[in-house]
Amino acid sequence: MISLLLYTGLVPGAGKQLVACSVFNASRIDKVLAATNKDWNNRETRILFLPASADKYGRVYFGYQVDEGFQNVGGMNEQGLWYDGASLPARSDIENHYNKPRLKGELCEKALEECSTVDEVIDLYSEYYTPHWQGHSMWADRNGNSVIIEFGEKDVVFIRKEQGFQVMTNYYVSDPENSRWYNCHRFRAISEILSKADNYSVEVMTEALDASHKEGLTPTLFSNVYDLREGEIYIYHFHQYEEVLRLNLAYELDKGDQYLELPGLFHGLKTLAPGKEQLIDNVNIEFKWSGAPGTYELYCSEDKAFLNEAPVSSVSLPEQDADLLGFPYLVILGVLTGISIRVKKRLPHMLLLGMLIFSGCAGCSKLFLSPQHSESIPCSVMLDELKAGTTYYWKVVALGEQGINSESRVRRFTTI
Amino acid sequence: MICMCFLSFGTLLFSQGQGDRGLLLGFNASSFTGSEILNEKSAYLPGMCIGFFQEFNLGPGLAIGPEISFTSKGSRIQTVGDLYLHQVVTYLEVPVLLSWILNPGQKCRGFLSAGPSFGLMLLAFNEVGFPEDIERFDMGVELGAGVRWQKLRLRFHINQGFLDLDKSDSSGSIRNRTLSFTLALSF
Repeated sequence: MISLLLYTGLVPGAGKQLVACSVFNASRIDKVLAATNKDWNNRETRILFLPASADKYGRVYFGYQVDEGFQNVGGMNEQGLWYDGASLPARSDIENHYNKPRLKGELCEKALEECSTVDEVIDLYSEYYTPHWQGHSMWADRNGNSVIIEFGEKDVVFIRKEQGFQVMTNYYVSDPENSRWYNCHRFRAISEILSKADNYSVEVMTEALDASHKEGLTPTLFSNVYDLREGEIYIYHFHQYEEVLRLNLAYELDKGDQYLELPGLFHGLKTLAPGKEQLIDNVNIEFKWSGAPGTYELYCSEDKAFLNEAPVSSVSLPEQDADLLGFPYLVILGVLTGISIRVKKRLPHMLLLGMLIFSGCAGCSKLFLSPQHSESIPCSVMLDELKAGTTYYWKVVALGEQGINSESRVRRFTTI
Repeated sequence: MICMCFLSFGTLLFSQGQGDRGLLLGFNASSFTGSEILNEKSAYLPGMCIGFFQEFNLGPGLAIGPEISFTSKGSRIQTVGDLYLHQVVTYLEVPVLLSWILNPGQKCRGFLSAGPSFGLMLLAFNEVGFPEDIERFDMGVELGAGVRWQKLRLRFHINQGFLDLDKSDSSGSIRNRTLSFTLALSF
């Protein structure tokens, strides 16, 4: 049974290590968007949908599978209330200085279950004490209100949004005295993109996510953009912003309880040709992409939104033969071991052997993370007799096993 | 430019064979001082320096010498609650020190030193990132005292910056202060 360890935005081991995350939201009159990059080294990323029950709103949580169960790090409810967390350096001075009442569960869980606005969340956090402050959380609602909640010197503090957007990474936003020292490049990159944007859109938010994503030992494992008014969630896996999974919260909640493995919903989809905004001197176009084994549908239309468009082609990519890459590796390893045993000057061979063993171990360990797509198969489809002098939009949709499809970003090309 | 001047100056006097030269290694403790820095919020940050010195005899018991060293400075700054930010600022530093030897001719000689110090900021960093609102150039005064024994020199000195390091919009000023303990070996 899934145990819901509801968090306050942080990953296990917080206090031992500082895990980076970038969280932000932006709103204009007609749009309220929120986004996050979750950076860590646990590839067991999950999505949990919990439909509405007595006195509790339906909601979705994103998080990780850990030894204790599911640990959420962010989510949204059906009222368009969203939150996400980012870790902060560990403190040992956090106490219930004002003897506030405590709850059995987590405050963020209660807030997502019972609140629909940022003001209600602020009231809840003002009333109750929670000891879980290894990080801070950002909350936003469908009205465009937003607040960052942190533990200050003696009590929780609220930092409300003062401009069209609000950003937080991994330092205390409520510390005004030392702001001159806080020069986080992820914070700056996001702020710069949002402050220059004329309109906020999923594309702008994705650009900010891409600009602030992390690679290396604790890479960005997944990224989300939430449309709080429409209840739409756009999900990217392992900072691959080419492939997006779009979920509608109301639609998914209608299916009942769901606990989804996030990596399994993606297909490693990459569009190859026609290139971005390419001019093509031909009306016969070859579309190329690559992805994991599965079924793909190609859409090509003059309408960017592909409204009422049927796929122009459907392709199934079969499973390939078993991976034989390990075989030559084992042969080399065996030969070298034999030589090392027989030849007197063993040192060079032993060194090489050691390097091979190390590279093998590193490849198998969690040290260097990579997306969980075993293979990427190239695919192409020819479309004949497109109209000359026309701008077309195209995308590829990968059909998922659970009725959840991922798709490529929409590309554009023009025929001459 | 500072390096070029120093090297030219050193080369000129080396060739005349009038000076003593060597390597130095030091451990220091640095902190920020200034109108906006509250004493209870700022604490000393340990660091080190490594460099080269050249000294020229001006007369009995009197010498002048520039040094060039890579020095780490900064401060440990309290942020929220019991959290501290370790702000490290590294410099290429050139103090030019006038030394007065208290008991010349003895095997173990005490000395006092004083002079201006010039610094070029190389890199500033902390747990969050790389602050950019820090002045590249720093200038201050250095006062010290120590002993010389054969080829070894042991020196304790204090370096107080004059210039405001803070280029941000924040009001107030921030200056470096460094207490150092240096061991030098002449050759």
